[in-house]
Formats: sequence, C-alpha cells, structure tokens
Amino acid sequence: MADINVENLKKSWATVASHGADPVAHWFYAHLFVHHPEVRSLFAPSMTQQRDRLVGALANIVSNVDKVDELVPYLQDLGRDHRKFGAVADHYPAVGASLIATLKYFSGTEWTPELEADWAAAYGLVAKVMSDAATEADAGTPAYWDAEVIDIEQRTFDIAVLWLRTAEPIPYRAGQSCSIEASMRRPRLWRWYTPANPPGSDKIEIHVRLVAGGPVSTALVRSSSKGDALRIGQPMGELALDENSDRPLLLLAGGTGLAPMKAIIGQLAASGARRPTALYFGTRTVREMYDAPALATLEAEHDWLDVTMVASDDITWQGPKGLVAQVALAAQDWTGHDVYVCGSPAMVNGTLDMISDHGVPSEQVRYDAFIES
Amino acid sequence: MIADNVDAQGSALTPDVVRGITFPGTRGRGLGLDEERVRAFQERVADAMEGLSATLEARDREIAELRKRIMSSDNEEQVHQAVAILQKAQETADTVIAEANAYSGQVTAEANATYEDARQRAAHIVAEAERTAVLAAQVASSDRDDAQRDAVYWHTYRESLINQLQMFLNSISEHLDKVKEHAEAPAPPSVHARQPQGAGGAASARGSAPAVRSGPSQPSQRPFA
Repeated sequence: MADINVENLKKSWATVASHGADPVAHWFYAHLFVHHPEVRSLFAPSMTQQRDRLVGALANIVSNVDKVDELVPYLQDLGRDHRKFGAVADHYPAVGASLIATLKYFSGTEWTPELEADWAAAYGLVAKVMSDAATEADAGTPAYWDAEVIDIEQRTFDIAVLWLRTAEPIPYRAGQSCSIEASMRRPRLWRWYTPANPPGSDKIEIHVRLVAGGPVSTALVRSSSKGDALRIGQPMGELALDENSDRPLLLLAGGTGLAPMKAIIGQLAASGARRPTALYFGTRTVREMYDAPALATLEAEHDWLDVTMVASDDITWQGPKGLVAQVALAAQDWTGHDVYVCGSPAMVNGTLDMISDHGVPSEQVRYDAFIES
Repeated sequence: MIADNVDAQGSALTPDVVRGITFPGTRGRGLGLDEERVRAFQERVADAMEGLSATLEARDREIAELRKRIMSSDNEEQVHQAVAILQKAQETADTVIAEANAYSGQVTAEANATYEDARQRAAHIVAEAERTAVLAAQVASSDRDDAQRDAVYWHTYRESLINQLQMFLNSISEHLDKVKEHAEAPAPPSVHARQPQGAGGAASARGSAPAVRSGPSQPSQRPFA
C-alpha cells in the first residue's frame, strides 16, 4: 500500500458514494454485464441484495485500506466464500475494469489519471489477496458439495424438517452452520442452516423456519420435493461443541435454534462422553414445539440428558412458562457449566445478558444468532 | 547514357520512376518537345504524386482510427446507452421479484394473524366460561348443598363453552368464506401481469438479464409458495 495515496482513495470513494450507494452499484453491474454477459448467470435474478452487499464490502475495504491486519483476513474469507458462486481468477480483471469505469463515471471532473492508477493498484491488491485465498482453499476443500432432498416433514405451516443426502460426508463440526442453495427452486440464493445431526454420515437433517416474504425459506418449507437438488457450502460458525472440555452443559435453544443443539447432543452421544447435559427448548407457543417427539426419544435414550420445554405465551401449556433463559437460570447454579445459546438475535442478546448476570464466565459461553432471511 | 525506358515496365509508377523516365530521341527530325520542359514536367508530376501519396496515407490512418473507434467497446456513448438499458431491465426485474416476495409475505402474515387471533379467542373463551360458571355457582351456593353447587358450576361452564364455541366457529366460517373469495379473485395487477417467479419458475432464474415480459395478463391460479 506504500505507493497508493490512501487519502485520495477515501476522498474519491466519498465523492462517488454521495450519488447514492444503490445507483452506483446498479451502474457497476450493468457495465459488467454489458461487457461480460456470460457473467450474469452467476447472479440471482433480483440484484437488490447483491447491490447492498457490494457497496457494503467496498465501503468496508476502503475504510480499512490502511489497516492491513484487519483487511487481509476479511479479504481472504471473501475470496474463499466467492468460490461457491463460481467466481474464478479470470473474473477479477473484468470486475476491476467495470469498477474503475464506474468510479470514473461518478467522479466526473474530479477523475484524474493518478486517481485511476491508485484505484487500479488498490484493486489489484484486493483481487490478488482474494484470488490467492481462493486458489489455496481450492487445493484443500471443494467450493460446495452437491446434495439432494431425500425427505421432508412439514411440522407446522411454517416450520419444516428436511433430510438431505450429500455426495460425500461434509466435514462440519457439530453446531456449525453451512450456507445452502436450493439450486432447483431458488438458484443463486444462499442461506445459512445448521445440520441437526453430528457429522460423519452422508445424511444431513436441517430445520427451516419460513420467514414471511423470504424466497429461500418459503421455497424450502412449502415447495420442497424429494429429489430437489441443493448445494451446500463450507461450514462456519462459533457454536461448535468444544470436546476438549469436560464440564457439564447447558444448552439454550429458541425456535429453530434447536438444530445445533441436537447436533451437539448427537455428537456427545457418539463420543460416549456422558457429560451431564441440560437442554432447554423455548418457543412462544405449543404449536412451535416442532420436534418434541424426537427430543422425548433422545431423553429416553440417554440418562445424561435432561430436556425441558418452555413456552412463553400459551395458556394451554401446562409446563414451565416464560423466557427460556429465565426459566433455565432460575433452576440451579450453572456457573460451572459450558453454556451454548442459539436463537433469534433478540433471544440471544437477552440470554447472554442474563447468563453474564448469573455469573457464568464468558469463556464458557458459545452462541450463534439466526438472522432472518 | 540512360536507356530510353518510357515504355518499359507498364505498372508501378512511383515519383522516382516518373523522374527517371526518358523518352526516345526524335532522331533529328526536329519534331520533338523541348527536353528541358519535359524534364520540368516530369518533376512536377513526381512531386504531385508524392503529395497525393502523403494525403492518401493520412486519410487511411484517419479511417483506421475511426473504424477502430466505431468497433471498439470503449465508445463511451454506446456503452452508456447499453448500461442505461440494462439498468432499466434490472430495476424491472427487482421490482417484480420484490412484489412477489411481499405478496408471499403478506399471505404468510395473514395466516399467522388468523391463527393468533383464533388462539387468543380460544383462550378468552375458556376464561369466560370459567368466570360465568364461578358466578353461577356463587349464586347457587346460598340455597343448595356442595354437590348441587358443583353441578350448577359444571353445567353452566359447559353451556357457556358450547355457546361461545358456536359463535366462534360461525365467525371463523364467515372469515374463511371471505378469504376464499379473496383468494379466487385476481391478485394485484402488477404482480400477475407478468409471470410470477413461483416454485417452478426456472425460466428467468438462469441465464441472461431478465427483460420486461409482455405476456398475457391472466390471473395465475397458483398461490405463491
């Protein structure tokens, strides 16, 4: 970055961005597709979200362009992640050319040859980091795995459990999530789902909640058929079971946040660890306790497992009522436990506060929040 | 002495060749042209040829440059036009898909709301029935014994529950009729004027930028999944 005038880059970006993030991104993609129509099929029909993501990424890169330690890992992740979209090294120059053309177009009279050179150099570095990371990753792991739907159970009108078969076992850790594309129904749209069973076989169970207006979740829950083709991307996530610990476990799950917990329980069972585990599964209503029979079976099979279901807003529920974290934390002292939390962002944030107040050290807590899409 | 060569090599007249041409002598017949004047003319022709040649070369360069510009994709105006057209097409596609998603979301939200409403009503009904029964039992308690008071309680509870459930079921039935009417009527025109991107709609999902579709505007029978 020594030769690049970082200040000028930031000023230039500010000028361009002042025209509005969406128009700039619109122009960029239109320019790219005019010059490289073959690239259009790598993107979904609707580009609204894609434009947001592009501008977000560019803004992030520009504002951190002088903080190499932060920028490089981010770019490496981005480069690796782009593999599943079909991006290859050859695409980077085309993207660079359209990017420069876009910046030039929106800069008007402020555009100079020096600015063009600076941007070209900066893009060259970004592209190299991304592309190198992708190439390196290609050597070790595939960009995605092919899978097909082998069974679906719609448990309620908006929650379904799907079983998928993959071409080969995917090396996720119990509790981690994978990005999934419903290739037949909603091509080029990827969403995160968590396998509800431990790794090791070619079958994966996922729990999907229909999000109102969400194209992918709606298709998965209501339009899936056996045989539908899917693609599954690299696993990621902090919620993986820590098998080096021998502390007892408290698992707090809200809604479909049950999935990683089920995987963790499966992993514990498979490893024979017999760590005392308490699962608290909270929903608003009884209708949303979509996996109750399976949980009852697990509890019956394993004497080290205790399952408690909690409803926060259902008068027909005879069991514990309230927020799942409230009910759990009131039951006993958990400060010596490993605590895992998964659910909506609101549930996770509220729960983390309560756990911290309860006195569980933060290094014993792992969590993941499901963002609706 | 330069040989007489005016007739030699019929082609390729270059300025230098013109300068070097010699003409056969008149063989003393006194009918020839003034040699100096002919030489001078040859010089002029050669110069003119050189001038024309230079002009031709300059024209050729200009043509090549213009042709390059016409063919090259760096023709800014053409590119901007194409970009503008593609942007418009993309905006249309984005709008159609956003509307489809919004409609789908609306249907889901309505289903959810209906279910929630039913749930709350059921809870309310149960509570009401209990209240009514307790009151009736209290009224009866003054002049009956315990067993009869319990009987009044349960009888009243049952009657109240049945009446309220009846009214509730009637109102649901009316609501469902309305929903059915609504579902069978054509949905908002902007969504159905073009084909919805429903669960099997792979046509525009792959391939090139979606263009505006001008299909028939018949309402789709298929609900959004």
